[in-house]
Amino acid sequence: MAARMTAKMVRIACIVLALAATTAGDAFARPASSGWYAEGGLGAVTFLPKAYKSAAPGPAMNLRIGRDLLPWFSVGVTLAASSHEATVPAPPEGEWFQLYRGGGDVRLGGRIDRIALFIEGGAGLAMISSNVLGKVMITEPGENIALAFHAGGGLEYQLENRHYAFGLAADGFLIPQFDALKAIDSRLYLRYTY
Amino acid sequence: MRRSMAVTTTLFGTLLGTLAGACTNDPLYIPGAMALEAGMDDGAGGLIEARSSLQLPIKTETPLDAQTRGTRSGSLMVDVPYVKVGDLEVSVEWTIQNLDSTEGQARIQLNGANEFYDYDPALLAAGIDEDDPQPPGLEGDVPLHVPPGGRISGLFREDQLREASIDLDGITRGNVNPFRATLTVDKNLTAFSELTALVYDENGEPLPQESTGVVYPREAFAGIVRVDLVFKPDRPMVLEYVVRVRDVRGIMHELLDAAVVEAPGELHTFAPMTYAP
Repeated sequence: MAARMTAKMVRIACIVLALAATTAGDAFARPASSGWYAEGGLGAVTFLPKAYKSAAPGPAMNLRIGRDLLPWFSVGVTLAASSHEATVPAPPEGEWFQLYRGGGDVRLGGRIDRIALFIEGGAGLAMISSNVLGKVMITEPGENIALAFHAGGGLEYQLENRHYAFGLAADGFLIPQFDALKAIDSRLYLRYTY
Repeated sequence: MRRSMAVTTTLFGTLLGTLAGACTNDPLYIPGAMALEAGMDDGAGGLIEARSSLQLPIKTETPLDAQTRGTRSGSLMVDVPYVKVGDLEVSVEWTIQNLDSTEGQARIQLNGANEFYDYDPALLAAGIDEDDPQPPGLEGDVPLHVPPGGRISGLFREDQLREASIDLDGITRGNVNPFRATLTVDKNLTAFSELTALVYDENGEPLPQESTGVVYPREAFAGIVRVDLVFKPDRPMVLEYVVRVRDVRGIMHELLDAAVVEAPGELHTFAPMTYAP
């Protein structure tokens, strides 16, 4: 299964790279700035089995700062925070926790006119605000920071102003130390390129 | 462009700072050791009550903290505790499961200990006629209706535990009558006076008390370090609870209840005296 997933990811990456290669040299109908950029997004984080039984989907916010190194390649650092109701067996009941994530990633992509497609992936740290998930053994005593990995993709719509674009993205993330907690972070964002 | 960059950097920094700050006062959850089953016939015409105690896993006091506390005790002329009211915001969340097929009633009485004294009204009740008012618990003891086979949940709030802490300190160090302490709202007290010892007349009525002149300011109020629950259902029921702590001062051990096994030497040992007026 993991091999099939990897093959699928490689295929997607090849398509995106091919798209980037065919479009990178063109004169775009809608110009877009390139270089340093910042993104701010709002969305939701939804947990996947088996953590979804113990934590409800919750609102999330993301910030990203990056730099386009090539027309099809950029690097960035991200910060994200999301808030969730713990749905562990009572007691406790109706308690919330926050999940903070930060790290670095790379992004591959290309653009056709006003639409850009990209895939991204990276690693960083995740921090959980309380031990409420300890009741279902997702966290261990004294453990609230862990390594996190994420990968995903999205698309951007370039506005007429060359500095601004709107985007829609979804990343899956994995936190192995938190009992291999998996979740999907989906977001709508605004990008400003300097 | 430079201005925009500066704005973004500031926003990023602000978010970082917010994330760092957001975690300083997050709740910690310490589950009760086991589910308490009670309400069965005790074979002597009564019903079995269940009791549970949960000692908060508090780190050993640092030499600097001890020195500061000693200095403060000297200037206030009273003992300043290591764990004061406001250092920890404690609440207790619970659920009761009725194991019977008929509706029942249950009571949960909350007591506890600070680092100086523990308070157990059952010990104070020795020698008191059953028909007379029994010494009160610090909180709770309210009849709760539990549907047949059903489950109810509730909590002792942070302000109730704060009230319980202040009542406990008033009763034990201040010689305040337990009935008076628990029937008045003391959670916003700024100080209490130590009273002369509680003495009863031949009819069992308490005699008037006077201040000894020793005043405990709020910064010397002892906070609760152990939570005791007494579960009193009228038919078989199960109580589960979890103690929720917001560690305002940062004195809880990061391993929480696991520290008892994994790092016992890093836990502060409290040896409260049993309150017996």
